[in-house]
Parts: sequence; C-alpha cells; structure tokens
Amino acid sequence: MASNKIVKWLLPALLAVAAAVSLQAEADIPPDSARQWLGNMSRSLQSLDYDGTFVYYHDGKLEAMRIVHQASAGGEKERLMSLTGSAREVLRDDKAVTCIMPDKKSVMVGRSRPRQPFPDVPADLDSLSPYYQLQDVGEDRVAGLMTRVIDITPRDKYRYGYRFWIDTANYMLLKFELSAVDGTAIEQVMFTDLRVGDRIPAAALEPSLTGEGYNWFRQGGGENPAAAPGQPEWTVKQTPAGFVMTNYQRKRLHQGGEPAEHMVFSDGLATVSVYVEKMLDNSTAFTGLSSMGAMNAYGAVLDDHQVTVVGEVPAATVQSMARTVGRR
Amino acid sequence: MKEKLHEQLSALVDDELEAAEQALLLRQIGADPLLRERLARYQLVSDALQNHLPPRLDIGFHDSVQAALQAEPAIHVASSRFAGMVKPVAGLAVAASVAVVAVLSLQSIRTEAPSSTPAVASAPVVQDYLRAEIKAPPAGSPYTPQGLNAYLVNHNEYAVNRGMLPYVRLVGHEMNVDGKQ
Repeated sequence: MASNKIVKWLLPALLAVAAAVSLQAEADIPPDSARQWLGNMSRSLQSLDYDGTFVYYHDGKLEAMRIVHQASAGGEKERLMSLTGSAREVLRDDKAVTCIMPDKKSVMVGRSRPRQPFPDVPADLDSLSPYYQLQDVGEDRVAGLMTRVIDITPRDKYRYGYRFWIDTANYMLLKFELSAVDGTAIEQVMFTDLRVGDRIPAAALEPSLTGEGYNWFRQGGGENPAAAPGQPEWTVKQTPAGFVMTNYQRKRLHQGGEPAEHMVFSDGLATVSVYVEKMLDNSTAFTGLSSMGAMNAYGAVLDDHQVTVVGEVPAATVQSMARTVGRR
Repeated sequence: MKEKLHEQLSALVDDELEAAEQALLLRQIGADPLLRERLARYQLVSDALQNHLPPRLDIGFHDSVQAALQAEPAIHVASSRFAGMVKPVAGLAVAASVAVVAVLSLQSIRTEAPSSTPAVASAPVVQDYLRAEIKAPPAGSPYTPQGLNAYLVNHNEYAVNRGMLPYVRLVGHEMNVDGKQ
C-alpha cells in the first residue's frame, strides 16, 4: 500500500524529532542570565528583520499567522496577518497601529507608542521576585533550532506564567507559552517557518486590503505634552500586590465619545489598563467579564461612567481592580 | 460558503467528515490548488500543535504526496469509464488519510512519551482546532467589537515589549463575551 510506504518513513522521522525535544538542564547558570536572555530577546524582536509563519493556540483553537518585521533608521515597521479564517491584518509603525478586520468591514487606527523594555523592572530581581520566579530552564529544540528556555512562574493567582523558547543564535523568540498559576497552558505561539536577516521587500509590509468601503475608526489624541492630563478624577482603591500605576492619560477612544481617563498599572511584567469614560447612553454599557485568549476585560458602570479594566492577566485581577474603582 | 468549505477541510483533517461529503470535497480539492494549499496549511497547523515539525518544512507536502501516489500503479479503479475522473480523487483520499494517520500516530507518540519531557507533555491535545467559533457581542453595545477593541489596541501599546504578540489576539479572534447587557 502506498500509504504504508509513506507512514514507514514518516513515523521514524517524527519519532526522531520527538526524541530530540527534551530539556537538558544546565547546572552552572549565572543567576542573572535568565534576565539577559529576555532582554536580548526583546531587543531582537525590535531590531531584526524577519518574516515568519507561526501558529497560535488558544481556547482549544489553532490559527496560523504570518509576521513581517523591518527595522531601519526610519524606525520599525510590522505587519501581522491571519492565514486561517478571516484575513485580518495589523500594521504597525512608529506612528500608528492599523487593524483591518474584513469580517467586520472595519478599520481601526490607533496611535503607537515606543516599546517598553522587557521585563520592565530594575536590573536587580528584587522587585520582581516577590511575584514571579525567573528561571533559566535549559536548552530545547524548536523546529530543528537550538533554543534557551526561560520560565517565569507566578507566585499567586493574579498573574500568568510565561515560558519563552529563545533562539541561541540570534535571540529570536521561536516559541511562547502563557499559562495559569496551576501550569495549565492558555496560549501558545510557535514559529513553523522563520527567515531572519533577509531583505524585506516593501510590498511585504503593505496591507493586502485597501479598507475601501469599510468603516474607519480613528482614536483621538491626548497623549501629546500640550494636552496635559492633569490629575486623575478616578482611582483604583485596591490593586493586587505588586501592581503600581505607571502611567496616566486622558484620551478620546471612541468617535463622538468623551475623553476617557486611562490608568496603567504594571507589576513589571503584566500590564493592566483601567479606562473610565463618561457614557453617552446608559443602554450601551458593557458589564461583566470578557476574554480573548489570555486577555481579560471586565466592565462595570459607575455614576454614568463606563469602567473597563483590560489586561493580559487572569480574570481575578481585572475583576478585583474593577470593583475598587472609585472617585478620588 | 467559503467558511463552510474551510470547516469541511478542517473536518477532513480531523477525519470527521461523512463519506459522501468527503468524496465531494476531495473532488473540489483535486480541482483547486488554493484548496490544496489550505489543506496543507491546516495539516501544518496540526503538526505544529503536536510539536513535531521537521527542521525544514515543505508546504507542498500534500502535492508531493499526491504526485508520488499518482506515480504509483497501486490504485486501480474498476470501471475504465470513470477512471480519468476518479483517479486523482482516490489519490487525494489516500493523501488525506495519510495525513490523518500521521496526526493519530503523533497523538499516540505523545501519550507514550516519558514524563521527563515536560515541554512536550505539557502541550495540550486539541481536537477541534481551526473551528472558528465566534460568540456574539452583547446586542447593541458600542463597546464591542470596535469599542472594546479600541481599548485593547490602546492597551497593547502600553504592554511591555514582546513585539507583536499582544496583537496576535486581535488578528486571531473575537472577544468571548460572557458579560451581560
């Protein structure tokens, strides 16, 4: 049988790959090397040219996507597109983020910001260690390439765990897993094909859709120095341990809407945004919990204001923060 | 229409397609290189999930399998009248079943893997991949999809740098909304 013939060579090949996927622990790892690996990864993602296909697993579903990234003197340019399902795209440069959603016939344009370093904490591990354990787990192979595996394990239920597989040759992130405090995987991202360092043709960074005939949504400003945010009128009275306010802005996020107060909280790894926006109409409130993979959002209404807490954190975190939002 | 076709492709890789539906789909695949490409991609996704991709990926895998099968004299169709029409379909059917066998084999490899390989053992086994199940946002709410997405896009720009990772969610799927009006 023809199929038997194929299985005959396919199985040993796959078994060989399976055997190669084993973690080799290393005894003499310098204590700060996990942090250096993450720092180098963060820089590679930002400074290298690459074009790759990866799969994204979440909520029992798997999707294939392509990412193209170009770094030049003029800044970074990125394009992320779905290869399965609806042909959604996100384009990002130093000025704007454009999300094209053909299934919704909508285009959303937001303002981009300079990227924060990762992890965004002081060089010593002290401020991170009460909430996470950072560990160099050893080496592993991903798609035939040698990687270093770095683990970040949460110490409580208010944050997620992260595992990074970082290419030992160029510090590119080849695989990523995000998990709950009990170790259950929530999201996985893995490159199946990645070209690093090749010249990126200009066309590869152009959207495949024009957005013609779509509804366009543009987020307004408020982040320039002239539009001083002043003092926040709202506050989060109680945050899970380690989350401190790192940024505050006022900005218009919805067309025709009032400017929202935006408070950003971070524990050095996870970031949570709290938006408080005057509602135009009571009937349009969003309340309760929503999720998008590892991203959770919790909505509540307070004194005719829509409160929305969003973050790549467990539901318990956004929920507990939303419940303690109040006037200053 | 297209979505239904993609669902069928996914079901084919899952080996969950009724025989009659399968025959029809295979005929369409035989006539459409784009569908073949998509089938290969779905298979790739499945393989990737199993963590068992070879070092070099051949996206034309199914085409090469089909070419190899067509070169094989092993598949005979009884009636010569239908031979021309049925043969490529039969070839693809075998190609598809090889793919399914490969997935099933990988799943059994995973089951037998020793516990000393945590990276593999911790990966979840997913049965219903590529089934885009989109929950509807609360009726009449401006906060979904554009509204809530506006918050998400804005928020992503404040997240610590892991490249485009935060945006993967926006490209990948809709918000699952359990909230109420």
